[in-house]
Amino acid sequence: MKRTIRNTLTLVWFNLVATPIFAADDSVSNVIVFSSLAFVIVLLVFLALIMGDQSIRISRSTLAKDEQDLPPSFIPSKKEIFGINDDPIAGDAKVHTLARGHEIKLDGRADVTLQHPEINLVSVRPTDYIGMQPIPKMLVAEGDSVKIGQKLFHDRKRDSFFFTSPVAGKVKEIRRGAKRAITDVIIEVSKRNSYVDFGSGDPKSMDREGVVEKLIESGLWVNFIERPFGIVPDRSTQPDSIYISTFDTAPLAPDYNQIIAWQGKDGETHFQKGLDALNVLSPEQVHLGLNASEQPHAAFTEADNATKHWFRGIHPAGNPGVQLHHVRPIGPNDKVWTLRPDDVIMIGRLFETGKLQAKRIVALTGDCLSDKAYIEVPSGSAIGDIVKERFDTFMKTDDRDAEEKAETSYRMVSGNVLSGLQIEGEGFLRNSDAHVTVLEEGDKHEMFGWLLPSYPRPSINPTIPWSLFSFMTFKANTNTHGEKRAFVVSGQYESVTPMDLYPQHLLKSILAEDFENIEGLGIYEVLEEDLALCEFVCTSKQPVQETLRKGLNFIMSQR
Amino acid sequence: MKLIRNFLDRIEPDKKSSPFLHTLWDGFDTFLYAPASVTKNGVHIRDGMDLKRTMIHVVLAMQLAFIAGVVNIGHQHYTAFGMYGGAFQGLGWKFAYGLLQVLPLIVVAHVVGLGIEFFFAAKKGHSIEEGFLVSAFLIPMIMPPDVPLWMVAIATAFAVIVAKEAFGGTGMNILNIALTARVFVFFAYPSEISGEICWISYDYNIFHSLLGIKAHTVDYLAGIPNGGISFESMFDDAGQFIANSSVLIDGWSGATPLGLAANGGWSAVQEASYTIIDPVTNKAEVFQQYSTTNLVMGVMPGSIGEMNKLAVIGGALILAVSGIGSWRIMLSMVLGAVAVAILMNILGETIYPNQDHFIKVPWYYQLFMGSFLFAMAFMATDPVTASGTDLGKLFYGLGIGAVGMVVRVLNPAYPEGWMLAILFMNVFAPLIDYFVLQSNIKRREARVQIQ
Repeated sequence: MKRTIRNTLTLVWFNLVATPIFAADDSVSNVIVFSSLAFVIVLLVFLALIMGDQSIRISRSTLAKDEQDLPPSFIPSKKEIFGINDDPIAGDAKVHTLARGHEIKLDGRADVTLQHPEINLVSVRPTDYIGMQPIPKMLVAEGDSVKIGQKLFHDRKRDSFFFTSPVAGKVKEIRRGAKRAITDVIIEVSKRNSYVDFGSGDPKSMDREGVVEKLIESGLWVNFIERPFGIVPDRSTQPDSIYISTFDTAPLAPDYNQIIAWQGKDGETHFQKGLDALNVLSPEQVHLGLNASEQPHAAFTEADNATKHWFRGIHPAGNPGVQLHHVRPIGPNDKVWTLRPDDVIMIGRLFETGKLQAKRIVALTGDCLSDKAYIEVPSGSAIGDIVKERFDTFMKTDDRDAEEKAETSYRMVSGNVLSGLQIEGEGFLRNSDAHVTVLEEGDKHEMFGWLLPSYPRPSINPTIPWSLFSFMTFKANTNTHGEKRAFVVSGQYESVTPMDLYPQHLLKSILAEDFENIEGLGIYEVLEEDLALCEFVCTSKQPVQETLRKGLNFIMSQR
Repeated sequence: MKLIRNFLDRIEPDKKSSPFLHTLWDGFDTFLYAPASVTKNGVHIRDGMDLKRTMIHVVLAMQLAFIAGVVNIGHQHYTAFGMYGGAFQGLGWKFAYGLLQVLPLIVVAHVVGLGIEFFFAAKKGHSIEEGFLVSAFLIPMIMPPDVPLWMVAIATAFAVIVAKEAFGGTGMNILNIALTARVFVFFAYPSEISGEICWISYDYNIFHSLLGIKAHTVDYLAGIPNGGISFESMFDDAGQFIANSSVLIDGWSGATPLGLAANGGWSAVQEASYTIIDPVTNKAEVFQQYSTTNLVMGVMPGSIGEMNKLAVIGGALILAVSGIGSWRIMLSMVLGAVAVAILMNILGETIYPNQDHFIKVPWYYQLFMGSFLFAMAFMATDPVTASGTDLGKLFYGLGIGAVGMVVRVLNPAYPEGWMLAILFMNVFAPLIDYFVLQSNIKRREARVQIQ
C-alpha cells in the first residue's frame, strides 16, 4: 500500500516537473497539463475514498461487537463479492501483514533429512542465561556420575534457577573462566540412559504450584524467557501471558513444522500437553503465533487451550517480540513469557512420561558444510567434531587453490547469524538453541572493497548490485565490510523493523542514559534479537544489540 | 596485489609514537583495501554497505551536474566575448576552460578540509571519517565560478572547524557543512560575492595561460579564429582586456535570471537578449538569453554545479532510488516550494494587478531558476542535519520549501533563499524529531493502557 502511494506520488511529481518544460506555447502542452490535472483529480478521489474507508473501520472497531451496524467497509472485500475466504492459509482469521523487514538470503539451508550422530560431550552453561550469578552453587563434583534430569547446580540468589543434566554420564570437567566464574559443566555421555523419575500426570488436573514445582525440579523452567529484559522468571511471578511463536524467519532457521513432523503423533500430543501445562501457569493467556505464508503443521493450527494469531511477513516477523508488539504490547509492569515450540514439546513430554528428555532436533546449516541436515542431539551437545569433519569434506571438493584454502577458517555460531553465539573448541551448543550456522571467517583484506565489491554479499542497498536480484543467494562471511562510525544514515533501522518504534533514537537515548526516553521509546518491547536486523543493515557498523543490552541492564538496575 | 598489501603492512607506523603518520597511513590503507576486521558476537554477518560507499555515491550522483556546470562556465565565458554562441560550438574549448577554472577550487577545498580532518582525527585517535568527501565536493559546486581561491580556503576551514569538528566530527554536526562554507563567504565578503560580475568567469588563471586557452581567445578576437598557439602567446600578458568592457558583446549582462526577475519581473527575464556578430560573415544574430530551454539546460550564469536541471534531477533520482538521499525530503520540499509559489502568484495578482513583479513569476518557472533543485537533491538530503524520523523528514522538507521560497521572493536584498532556508531548518530539525518522538511515546502509552 505504502509503496503504491509512494510510486503514484513520484509519478505526479514528475508530471508537475515535466509540464512546465513543454508549457511553452504549443497546443500539446495543454493536453499534458489537462491530462495530468485529470490524473491528480482521480488520485485525490481515490485517496479520499481510502481515507473514508479507514475512518469507518476505525470508528467501527471502537463499538461493541453487537452494535456494529456500520458497514465494514466502502470497498467490498473479496469474500463479500465471491463468497470465498480471502486467505488460503489463515482462512477467516485476521492476518497481521508485516511489510517491513528484510530477508537475508543465505546459502546452506539444511536438507530435510534427520541424522542421529553420536555425541560424546555435553555442556550445561550458566553463562547462557541473563541474570545468573557468575559462580553458581554446584551440586555435583568432577567425576560424579549423573542421570538424565539430575540437578547439577543452581543459582545462589534465586532457587528457581535449577540446571539439570540433559544426558546420563559422568561429570568430566567443571570449567572456569575469568574470576573463577563457572563457564561450562561438561558431562561425558555414557551409553546407557538412566532417568530421574519426576512422575507423570495430566497437567490439567494439577494446580499451579504442582506444575511450577515440576518444571523447576526438571530444569525446564530456565527455558522461559521473561519479557521485558529477557531474563529467567522468578518462581513467584505470575505471567500476564505466555507467547509461543511457531515459526522462525531468521536466516537459515530451522523449520518447526518439519521438526514436529519427525516426532510423529507423539510430537503432536506432547505439544498439546505442553500447552495444557502452560495454561495452568497462565490461564486463558497462552498465545500462538502462526505463519500465514506457509501452511503450519496441524499440531499448531489445531492446538487447543491457546489463542492463535496469524502473521505474514519476512524476518523479523517470526520473532515473538515483533508479534507481541502487534497483539499484546508490553509495558513496564507486564510480565510476558516466551518459549520456543520445541521447549513446549519437552514440557509436554515431561508430563506425559515423567522423564526429562532433553533431545533437540538441531538444524545444521551453513554454506561451507558438505552435509547440511537436521541432527537429533541432546541440548548443549559438543558439535565441534561433526562440523570440522563436514567442513574438511567440503573444502576437498571446493575449487579454490591450496594456498587460499589454507587461509580459510570457519566460525561456528550457535543460533542464527543475526543473534547467535560464537562457539569455539568442542563447540558446545547453547542449551536452548535448535540451530547451528557455520560461516567462513572474512578476515581478508579486499582491494577497493568499499568501491568495487569483488564477490556477492547480502545488502539492503541497491548500490550493491546483487541486492537487486531476488533469486540471488549469498555465501556470507564474517567480514564487517567497513569500519565503525557515528550514526549518519537515518531511516535505515526503521525500514527493517516492523514495529511502531524508532530504534535509532532508542539507541541514542541509551547512549545518553536518558531514562525517560529509553522507557518511552519502547525498550520494554524489544530484546536483542528483535533489533538484530538493524545491526546487520547499519551503515555505520554500530553494535546495536550490545548497546540495547546495556540499556536493558541500565533500566533493570534503576527499578 | 599481494605485493602492495605486504608493503602496506610493512610500513605501518606505530600508533602511539607517531599518531599523525598512523592516521595518514590508516586513511590510505582503508582507501586501498576494505579492512579485514570481522564481526564479534552480535550479528555475525554485516551488510556490504559502509559509509565510504554511501559518500562516494553522493559524489558520483553529482558528477553529471558537475560536468554540465563545467561546460556552462566555458559557454558563458566565450559567449560574453561573442565566441561560440551555439550551445555545441567549441565544446572542447568550453570544457577545457571550465575544468581549469573549477579544478583549482576543488583541489583547494579538498586539501584544506582534509588537512584539518587529518589533524583532528590524529588528535582524537580515530580514523579519518569520509563524510568530508561529499562536503569537499559540494563546497566548490555552490561557489560562484570566479571566487578567489583564498576565499574558498578560508570558508572551508571555517566550515570544517566551526560547523563540524567543534561538534565532534561526522554525524554530530547540526549545520550542513557545505552551506556553512557558503554562508561564510556570503556574509564575510558581500562585495565580492554579490552583484552581476561574479556569476560569470571572465578572467584567465595561470593554467589557462599555460595551456594556450587564453592565447586562443586573444587570437580569435583579433580575427584569427583558428590561430595557432605560439610559445610566446602562453606568457603573453593580454589578460587585462577584461577591464576594457568594449570586448564584451552587445546587450550582454552577467545578471542571473533571478537577479533580473527580482528587479523587473518575469518579463525582464524573457526580454534579456544579446547579439553575436560572426567574425567571418559579419552577420549579426540575436539570442534570447533565458529561454525555457536555456533555463532547463542550465545555460545561464550562476554557481558552478547547480545550473543544469536535467543533470541535477538525474542526480536526485540516483540518490532517491539508491535510498542514500531521502525521497521524502525531496518530494515534500518541492510541494512546500510549489505551494508557497502558487500562493505568491495569487497574492501578486491582487497586490500588483498591472505591474510586473518578482512575486508574479509563474510558480513552475520558479523551480527552474536558481539553485532550487540542486539544494533539494544534495543539500537538504544530508542525513545528519535533516530530521531523523520519516515523518519528520516530510515536515522538514515542507519547511525548507516554504521558507526558501519566501526568502527568495520577499527578501529585497538577495534573490535566492535555499541556503538560508536549509540552515534555518537544520536548526529546527531536532525540534521536529522531538515532536515526532513524543507522539510515538504517547501512542505507546495509550497502547499499553488499553491492554
